[in-house]
Amino acid sequence: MDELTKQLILDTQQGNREAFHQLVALHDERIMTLALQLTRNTQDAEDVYQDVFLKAFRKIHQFRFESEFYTWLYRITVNTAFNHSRKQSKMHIADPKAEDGLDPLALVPSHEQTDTDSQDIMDQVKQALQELPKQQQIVFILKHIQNQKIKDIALIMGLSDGTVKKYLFRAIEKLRVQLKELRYA
Amino acid sequence: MPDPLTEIQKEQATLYVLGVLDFNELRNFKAELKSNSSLGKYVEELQQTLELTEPLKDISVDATWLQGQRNLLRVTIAKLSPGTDLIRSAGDRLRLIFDTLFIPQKSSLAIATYALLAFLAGRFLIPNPTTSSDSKGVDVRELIQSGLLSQADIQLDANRQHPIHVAVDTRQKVELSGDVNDEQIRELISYLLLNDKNPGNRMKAADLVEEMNPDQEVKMVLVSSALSDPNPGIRLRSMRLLQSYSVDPLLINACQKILMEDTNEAVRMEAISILAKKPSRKLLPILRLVTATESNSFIRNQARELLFKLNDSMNPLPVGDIQ
Repeated sequence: MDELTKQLILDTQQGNREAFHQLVALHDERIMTLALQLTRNTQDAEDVYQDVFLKAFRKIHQFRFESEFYTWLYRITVNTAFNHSRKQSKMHIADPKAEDGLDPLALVPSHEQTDTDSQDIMDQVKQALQELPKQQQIVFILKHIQNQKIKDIALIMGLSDGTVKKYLFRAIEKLRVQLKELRYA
Repeated sequence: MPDPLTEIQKEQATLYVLGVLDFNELRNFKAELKSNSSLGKYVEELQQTLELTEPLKDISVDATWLQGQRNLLRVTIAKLSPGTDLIRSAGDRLRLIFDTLFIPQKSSLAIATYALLAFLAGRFLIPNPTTSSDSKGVDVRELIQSGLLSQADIQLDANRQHPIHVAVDTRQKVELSGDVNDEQIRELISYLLLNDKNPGNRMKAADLVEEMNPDQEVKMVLVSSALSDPNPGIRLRSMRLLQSYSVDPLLINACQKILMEDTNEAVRMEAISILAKKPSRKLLPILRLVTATESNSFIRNQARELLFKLNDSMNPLPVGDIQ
């Protein structure tokens, strides 16, 4: 953990709110990116972002420097997004594409948007990812999209390294089968 | 046809394409891969599958949108019970600055950066002092803390003639006028330089900073701008303004960071020219690194000259280095 983050955490723990806002500014881009990847929806990502940092603010006095700060934030983010998606699915089990808010993958460069085939492929990839069990989906995103280490994913998810690897294997194996036709397209 | 691969082989293949096999596993897997064509085909399929998901990595977070979320969070947290806030009085403010500057275990860069944060915390959170500006009825700190400024259309009229006019269009138009060194105007200009979403406004704010009395607080604002502004033109402007300030540990540490990390050559040039004003043997490691890795020949040569001045006894030039 870098010294600046450490000092800002210590100061926040002593009640300095401005220090917390500086912590947010240091780390929130990664958290928002992860929230977008987990929720695939800007409105949900905004909700997750706000919840994550509010929880972090309320619980930062419990942070004991036993892990990296971002790992701690990631863990809160994953739990928050997971709970958020459970609430959402209880509210409407309809096609998630019908949810309000922009699709964050619309932010993929525009030349791809104009290419109907590419867009079609992306839609199928997103759909396949979405059909994975939530835990496998999260592990896949953390490893392949976010490039996290296995041991960090284990910490974030509260799983063993072996379980993380199993989830990864299952996730990618399912994607391999689901996306079979696209591989030869 | 039955699947010729076992689950264990498939799992190893997955971990292989993800690059998470350890040394022994990797060696064994590669050996098996050479002799098992089914495994090779499976690995190829996995790689193609992962390639299909590559565009998922291209999400970028819009800076303005993110700033809006920060502001919303700030407002939400501000509504919580003040409870344990430390920054309550001038005494606390001084203690905070003292602590941040003189706690010995912190790295020098952290001290430098955090000193700035303490300054900002002090400037923007401490109860409002008397102001000499003509900003009747306008509480700048309240405006800043509300988060409205980042969404407002801000126009600065920096014509070098007093008074300076700052117009902020929020839901109700706010206008401030006064001397550039009036406390509220200074705060607003500092805030705009560090936070405004519009680079044109930040550049105008930098122009106004030049008019301010060159004290330590202004210096810290410029250092922060040089370290963090996304726009290289503004970072460069801040660095050039810093050329007229005394070279102290705060500035030295900032310049080292900029020299190693800034992507803009002109900004890095300013950094090394500031460092050259006060050569110190503490700079030796970074200067050696610069001579070995810097892409710009002017900066490399500056670093070599500095090393020469410092009588660097060690060989600063790795094999194949600069001409």
